[in-house]
Amino acid sequence: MSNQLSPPMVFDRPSTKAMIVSVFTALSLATNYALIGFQNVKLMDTLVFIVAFLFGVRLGIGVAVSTWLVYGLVNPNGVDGPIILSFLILGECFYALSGAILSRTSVGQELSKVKPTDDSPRITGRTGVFRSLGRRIRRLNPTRSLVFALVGLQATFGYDLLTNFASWLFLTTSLYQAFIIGNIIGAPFSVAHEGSNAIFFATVAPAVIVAARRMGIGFHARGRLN
Amino acid sequence: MRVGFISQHKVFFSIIILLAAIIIAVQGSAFYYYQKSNSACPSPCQGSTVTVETLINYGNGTSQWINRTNIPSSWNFYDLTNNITKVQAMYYGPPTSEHLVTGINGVHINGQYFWSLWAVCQKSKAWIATSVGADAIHFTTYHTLAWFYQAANSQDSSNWNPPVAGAAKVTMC
Repeated sequence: MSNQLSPPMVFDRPSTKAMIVSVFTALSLATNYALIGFQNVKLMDTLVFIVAFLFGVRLGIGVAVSTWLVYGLVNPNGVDGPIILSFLILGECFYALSGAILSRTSVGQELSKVKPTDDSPRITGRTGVFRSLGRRIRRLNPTRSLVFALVGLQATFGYDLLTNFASWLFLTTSLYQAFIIGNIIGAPFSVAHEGSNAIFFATVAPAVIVAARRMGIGFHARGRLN
Repeated sequence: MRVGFISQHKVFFSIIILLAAIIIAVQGSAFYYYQKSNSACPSPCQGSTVTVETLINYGNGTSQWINRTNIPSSWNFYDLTNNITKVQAMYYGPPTSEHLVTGINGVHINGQYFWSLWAVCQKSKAWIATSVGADAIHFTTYHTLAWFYQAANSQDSSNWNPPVAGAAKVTMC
């Protein structure tokens, strides 16, 4: 009986994992090239985080590595050298790690739970426009958005520290100089990156994760039928 | 209910909020320092002029020196480039507020070919690929600058060629 109720172990199949990495890599690349005119504003980091949160750190790292191998080498703003590229890939893995770690915490698991009932049509049908808007905003769960935004901010900060340092690694006389100069000169880029990522993590990540759980997608979704 | 959820996980929320506050403080300070060090123009700023030599190397054996003695000291190198050449550029708004130069006098970036920005380091009398864009270059440190159209297969500027063939090149000024 329990076997009949268990969801198919489709997410354990290597072919499914390869499909997930391919789809999210394609999404990351498409959004990166679409946003090429906006420096350091990219959805890729949020997508890597989402994959790691839903499917585990390995798939998150898979998306991070595959995306950078293409985006670092086929880029209208210039091609990255192998050393810079390795630092970029390493930095991108921070998002995968943070997604996987958050998904394992009790806070992450509770925040990604789906409410069993959905009364929104009845609520909006009975109340005024502003009241229904207020209810809808409350339903967005500001606590969830806050946690995702702060985790995203921290991962992005780590990424920026590492990659700004790497950009100056061979242009300065000491590692300390590379770290300080890189992070001061890179400050405007870091601000844009961290600000935009905080917004994406607060909006896109919770929406996708909750939607995925509702559809029974992801490793966490297995708990739904228990 | 949400207050209850936060109070149930006090340690978690305390740590992530504290870390976020530290990050905002550190990043804000770095950004402030960057803006302060790059917005300065020579003293006295208003009304004074400077002499700047600019080399445009088109990468096909054609080079052009442009010497100007009456550049307002409040200008940055993008302003000067825009004044002495026909520039095509993409503008990026705040917080970077800078231009990516995509073409000078009809020569556009193409594949691996792009316009690299160089300056003569007074201390070592050698060319250095600047670490910042033209908008962030004021004429306090550099008075001889160059645009060099060249192919590069790496963003690591230590691998690039200087704008004058055979000239000395440094990576730190």
